[in-house]
Amino acid sequence: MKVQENAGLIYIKHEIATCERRIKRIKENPDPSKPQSNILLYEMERDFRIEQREACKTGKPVGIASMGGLTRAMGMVPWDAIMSADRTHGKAATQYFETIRKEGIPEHTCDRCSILIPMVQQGDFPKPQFTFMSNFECIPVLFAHAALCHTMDIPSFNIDIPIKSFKMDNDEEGLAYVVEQLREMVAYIEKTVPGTKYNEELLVELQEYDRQFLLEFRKLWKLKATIPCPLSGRESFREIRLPSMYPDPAKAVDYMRLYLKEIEERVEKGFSAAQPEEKLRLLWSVAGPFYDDPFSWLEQRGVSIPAAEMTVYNGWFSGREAMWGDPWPGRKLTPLEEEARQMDFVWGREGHYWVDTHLHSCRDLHLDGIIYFQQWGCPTSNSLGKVIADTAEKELGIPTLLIEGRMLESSMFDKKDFYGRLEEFTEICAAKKANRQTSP
Amino acid sequence: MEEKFQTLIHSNDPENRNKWALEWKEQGHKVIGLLDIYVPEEIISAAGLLPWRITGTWDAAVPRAAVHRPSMTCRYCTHVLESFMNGDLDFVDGLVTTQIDDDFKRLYDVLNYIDKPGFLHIMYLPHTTSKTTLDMWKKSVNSFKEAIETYSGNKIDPDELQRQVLIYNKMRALLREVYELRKREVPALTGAEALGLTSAARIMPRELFNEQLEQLIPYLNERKIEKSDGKPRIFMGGEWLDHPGYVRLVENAGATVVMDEFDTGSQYFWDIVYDTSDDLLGALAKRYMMRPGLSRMAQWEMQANRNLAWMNEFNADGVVELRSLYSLPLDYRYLFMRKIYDNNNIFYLSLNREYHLSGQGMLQTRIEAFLEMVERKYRATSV
Repeated sequence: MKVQENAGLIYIKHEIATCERRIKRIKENPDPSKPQSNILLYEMERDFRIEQREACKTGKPVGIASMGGLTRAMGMVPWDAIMSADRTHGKAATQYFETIRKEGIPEHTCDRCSILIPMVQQGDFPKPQFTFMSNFECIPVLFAHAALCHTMDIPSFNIDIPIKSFKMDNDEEGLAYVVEQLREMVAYIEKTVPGTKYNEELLVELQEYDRQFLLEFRKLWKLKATIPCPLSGRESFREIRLPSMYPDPAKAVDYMRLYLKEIEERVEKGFSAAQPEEKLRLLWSVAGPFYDDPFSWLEQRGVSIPAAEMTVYNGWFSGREAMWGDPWPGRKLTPLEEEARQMDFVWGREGHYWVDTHLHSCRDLHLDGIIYFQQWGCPTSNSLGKVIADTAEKELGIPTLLIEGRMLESSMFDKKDFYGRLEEFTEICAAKKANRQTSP
Repeated sequence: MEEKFQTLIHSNDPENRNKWALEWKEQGHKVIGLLDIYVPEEIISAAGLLPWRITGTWDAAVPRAAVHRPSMTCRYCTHVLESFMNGDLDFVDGLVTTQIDDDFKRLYDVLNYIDKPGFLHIMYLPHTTSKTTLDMWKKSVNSFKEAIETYSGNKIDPDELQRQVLIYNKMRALLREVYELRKREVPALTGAEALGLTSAARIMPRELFNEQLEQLIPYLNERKIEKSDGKPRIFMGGEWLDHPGYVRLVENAGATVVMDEFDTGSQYFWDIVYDTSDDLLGALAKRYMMRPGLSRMAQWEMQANRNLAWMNEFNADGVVELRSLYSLPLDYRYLFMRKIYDNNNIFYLSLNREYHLSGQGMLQTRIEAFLEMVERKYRATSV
C-alpha cells in the first residue's frame, strides 16, 4: 500500500469543492422542499475543511481527544476521519473495499471502521498528530483506531469506559475513573504533541455552545412528534456535528436555530414529509444503505421516518441522556467531568440501555414499527435486534424488521430483495396499526 | 502411562467433556461456566464452585443462536449460545465473563434475556494496563467476589482463597514444565496434545488435574513425538480456538507446533499470582490483568514483544495464526503483527477459520504452501 508522504488532503479538497457547489446551487436555484439553513451548514463544513487544510499546511496540530471541545481546548484542530469515512459511499467505498480485501484489512466489520484505515494509510485523509482510542462508542471504532495508531506510529491514549453507564446511573466512581484517564491524557498530549496546551476556559466556552445547540435539538424532538412528521427521513438520519467541532461554534448554534424555525414553519403549514399523506411512522435504527435512498422510497408510500436511532443522539434529543450542563446529583460537574460524562454512549454499554432507548423513541414519537438495520460486522448492535423486536412487540405491540446489509459498500446490495422486504414490512405495520386502532 | 496421558488430553472431547462437571454436581456442588481467561477462577473455587470453561457446540448448525446472532458475529459466542439454547449446557448453573469485546457483551445480554443460566455476571475489564485501570479492575474483581459469595451463600474464607491460589499456581507451574518440554529439538508432545492438556485443566477440579499431570511428568520427560526431523517449528496464534483438529491440521500439513499464544493454551496458565500475603485480591487482580494478554487489550506492542520472545525461546521458524471468523480484535491486530513480523523477517501466515472444524481442505493447502516456503528458508540457512 502507498505510504502517506504528504498531508493527505485529497478528501478535504473534495469536500471543500462539494460544499462550494452546494452553497452555489442553493443560492442560485433553491429547492423549496429542502431547508434554506443548509447554506449555513455547508458553509460551516467548508470552513472546517479549510481550517484542517491550513493546519496541515502550517503544521498546526490536528488530532482528536474525546469530542470537539477537549480537542480544541488542547490547541488541536479536530481530526474526524471516522465521520469522514461515513461520507465515503458508492464508487469510492467500493474502491476502498478493493484495497481492504487486497491488503487483508478487516472487512467483516462495519464499513466505516474498514474504510477508515485505507483512507488514512493511503494519504487521502491527513495523518493526525494524536488520537485518543476508546470503547466509548463500540469495539470496532476502538480497534480501527488502534490499528491505525500502531501501524502508522501515531501517538495515542486509551480512554476506557466501564460497561455500566455511569451517566445513566449517576455513578460517581465510574465518572471519577474516566476523569482520571482524561487528566492523564491531557498531560500526555501536552508532553507528546508540540504546540498543545490545555485551555480550560476555552473548554467551558465550547461546552456551552454544545449545550445551546442541543437545547435547540430538544425542541426539535417535540416537533418530530408532530403528526404528520415535518422532517424527511434523510434529515432524521443526518449525523450532526456539535458546534465545538467547527471553527465558528456560534454559527453552528445559529444554524440550528434557523433550521428549527424552518421546521416550525413546516408544522404550522401542516407539511408532511410522507406523501400523499402520512400513513405510517417508523423508527430506523443503527444505519442504512446510504448509497441508496430508502427514505424517499418510503416517503413516497406514505411512510415517514421521524427519527433514526444511532449511538447517543436520541438520548440527547429526548432529554433522557444528560448533556453538558445538565444536573448531576448534589453538585456541579467540573469541565473535565462534563467531558467524561459525554463519553458514556449508552449503546456501547450493557444492552438494556439500548433496548430502552428504542422503546422511548417509539413512545415519544408515536411510531408504528422499527426498521432495524443489521449492519454487517457491527457486534454492538446486531445481536440485540431480536431482543428489541420481541420487546417492542410485547410492550408496544409494534413490529420490527431485522434486515442485514452494508451501509457504505454497495456491491452486494440486492435492491429488489431489500425493497421487497420493506414493502412487506410496511404492509404488516399498516395491518398492526389498524388492529391497534380497532382494539378496545 | 501413555493411556493415562491420552485419556487426559481427550478430556474436552464432546463425549468426555461434561464428565467432571456432572460428577461435581452429583456431589451437591454448582458449576460456573467461563468463556475467557480473565475471570479469577480461584475465587470461584474458594466458594466451593467448579469453574468450567465452556466449549460451544462443535456442530456446524446453530439454528437457535442464529435467531439472535447474524452470521457475521463472533462464531465462538454464537456456538456457545447455541449450546445454551439447545439444552447441552443445562447443567451449568452460572456464567461469568468479562466484556472481552462487544460480541461477548451481547452474548451476555441475550443470555440475560433468555434467562439462561440461572446466575449471570459480567465483569468490567479495561483495555489497557495502567495504575488507574488496575485500580478499577480491582473493584471489578471485588464486586465479582461479592456476587459469587451471594450466589453460593458462602462467605469466602481468606485461608481457603490462599489455598486455592497455591493450587492454581501449582497447576500453572506444572503446565509450564510440560511446555518447557516443547522447546526440545524433538518435543515431548504435539501442539494438538498440548491444547488437549490445557483444555482438560479448565474443566477438571484443579487439584485432581494437578494430581494426574504430576504423575505424568516423569513419563513426558522421556516422551518424544513421532518424527519431527526437518519439519518447520511453528508458533501458533489464534483466539477461541479449542478444537485440536485445527492444530492437528497444521501438524499434518508438515509442521511441528512448538508453542502457541492461544487463550485456550499458554495464556491460560503462563503467569502466576505473586505476593499473596497482605492483599490477596489485589494480587489476583494484578495477575489476571497486568500481562500482555489477548488482542482485546489494546497494548499490542507488549503482545508482539512477548510473541517474539516466545519464538526465540522455542526456536520457532514461523507463525501460523488461525483467526476466528468475525472476531474483530485479532483481525485488527493482524495489521500490526504483520508489520512486526515483517520487520523481524519472520514468516507469518494468518487465516480466518470457523469455530467448529471446517474448511480443512482450503486451510491445509494454504498452510502446506506456507510451510514449503519456511522449509526452503530453513534448508538454505542449514546448509
